[in-house]
Amino acid sequence: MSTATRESTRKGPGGKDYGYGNARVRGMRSRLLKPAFFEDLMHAKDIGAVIQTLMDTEYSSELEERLLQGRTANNVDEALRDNMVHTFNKVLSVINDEAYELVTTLLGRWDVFNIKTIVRGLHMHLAEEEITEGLVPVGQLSYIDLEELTRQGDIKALVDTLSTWDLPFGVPLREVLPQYLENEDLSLLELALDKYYSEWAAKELKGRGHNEQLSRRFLGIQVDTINLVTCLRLLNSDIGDQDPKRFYLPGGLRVTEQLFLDLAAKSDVDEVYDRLKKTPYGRTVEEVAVKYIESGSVAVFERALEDYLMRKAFAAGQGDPLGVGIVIGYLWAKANEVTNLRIVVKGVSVGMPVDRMREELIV
Amino acid sequence: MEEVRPTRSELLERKQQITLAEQGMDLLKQKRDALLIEFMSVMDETLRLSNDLQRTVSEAQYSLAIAKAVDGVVSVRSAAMATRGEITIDMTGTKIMGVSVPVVTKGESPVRSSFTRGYAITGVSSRIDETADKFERILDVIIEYADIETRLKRLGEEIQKTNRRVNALEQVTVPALREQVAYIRQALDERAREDLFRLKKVKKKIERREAERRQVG
Repeated sequence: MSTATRESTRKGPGGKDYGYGNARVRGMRSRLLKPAFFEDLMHAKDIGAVIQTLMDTEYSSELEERLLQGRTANNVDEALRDNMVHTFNKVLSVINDEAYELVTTLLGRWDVFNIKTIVRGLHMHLAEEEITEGLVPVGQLSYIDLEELTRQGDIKALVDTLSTWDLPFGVPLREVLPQYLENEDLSLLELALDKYYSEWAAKELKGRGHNEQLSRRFLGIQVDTINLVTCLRLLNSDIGDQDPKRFYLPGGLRVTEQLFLDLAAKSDVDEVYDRLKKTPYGRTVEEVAVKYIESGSVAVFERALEDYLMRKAFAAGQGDPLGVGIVIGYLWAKANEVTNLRIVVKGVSVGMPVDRMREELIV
Repeated sequence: MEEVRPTRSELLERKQQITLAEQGMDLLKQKRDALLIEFMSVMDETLRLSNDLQRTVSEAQYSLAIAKAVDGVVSVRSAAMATRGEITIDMTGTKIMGVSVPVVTKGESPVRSSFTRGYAITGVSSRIDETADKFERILDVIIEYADIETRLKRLGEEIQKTNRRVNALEQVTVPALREQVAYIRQALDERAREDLFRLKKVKKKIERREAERRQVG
């Protein structure tokens, strides 16, 4: 078992001065791709034309590197991910200490995602390379940290290493490890991680300052979104003798545990809407209710709630020029841009009609 | 033509063989008709499942493309790591009109609920979850399709085999036997005519001797 130590490589400016960091981030924001660019890109005749267009953007260096392995949609996807990772890390390196703490707490969901990927890989005894291919190191844990975790060989050793590094994510894993070792149920570890992260992040962001409150609100909407989607999934599924309460994530803004349990007990989407109409999510749910009834897919709601979250992130980016909102707004706008590019790249590569691609694009 | 002894017993034997071959041919034709009826009903089911499979595959591919585009290949890959599993299939056999066909049945349905796929639903988007569901449905249809397609193939082979036998009896065996009967009959008739001719000759000879004896006396 490895007990390698973990060192922080952060070199950004200290304190609470948002001037420098936000100026850099605003500069980066101005280079985000405009809607007209996507409109043109969707009309590209094939993946080669998409790549050609993207070579004139900020994505060129990552594309050059990845496309050496072939001009495929998958390699473009990898290049987009590389660019997102570089951009996020660049932002984290220029922002002040306070913004860094707040933003890395919000980006903790990516740390959780990476740890889950490693846990899944170790559970299935996959090769290290196969696991590391699926990592997105944009949170507190660097690629080197994640590689070290991947090398642990089994889940028990991974939990021990996380505890040695004094990372919060070791705590929930250690708690449910005996149960996991008994029945090898992977979802126990994942659920414990998700619950712990939302609760831990909510506590970390509990300060009274404007930036903490904004970050807390943003986290709350994220958690609410997950809880609402979970409710709708519970509505469509037979959960047997499982208690719906175990799927509730604490740390939300409006969706309390009581509301979650009420919603999970509803029998159809109309009842869910009735219960939600007095919350900020009521309108979003109402807007897509018909589409949901037509398609029967919960993804319709998830998508609408993601759009809502994205609009909140954009709104945060338009607020206090010397606040953390600028950074949050930019990071989410960047992630959104990468998602939209992926949609166009995939869409063009499989010959999806332009209207369909336009429908899939996020705000 | 095989060497045939032109005797009455051989003629009787050949006639019996023709009756037997015609009875066999009728039975084989009946079997072929019954197999064809079974084949057509299996064919309808196969076509239904084939369309079902095509539709399920195209829906699943579309869902996968959307999941990869919106959630990213890494998220799909990560969720896929948690959902690896085994499929249990039972293989037994049955007989349709005397034809042995394998029966493929699902041990446990490959379609799992969101709560038994391995990952926690709180950390995987419903797009990925629905994609997993659609691919599991493909497996479900594939198992059914494998069963029905094998059945169709075996029935088709048996119909061909029966058809070949019917044709062999109808076109080769029975005409050959009829030819042999005709040959034997011809040979026996010839022999009968020769005997008659010989008898007439002998009779004439005896009559001539009788006439000469009377003239001398």
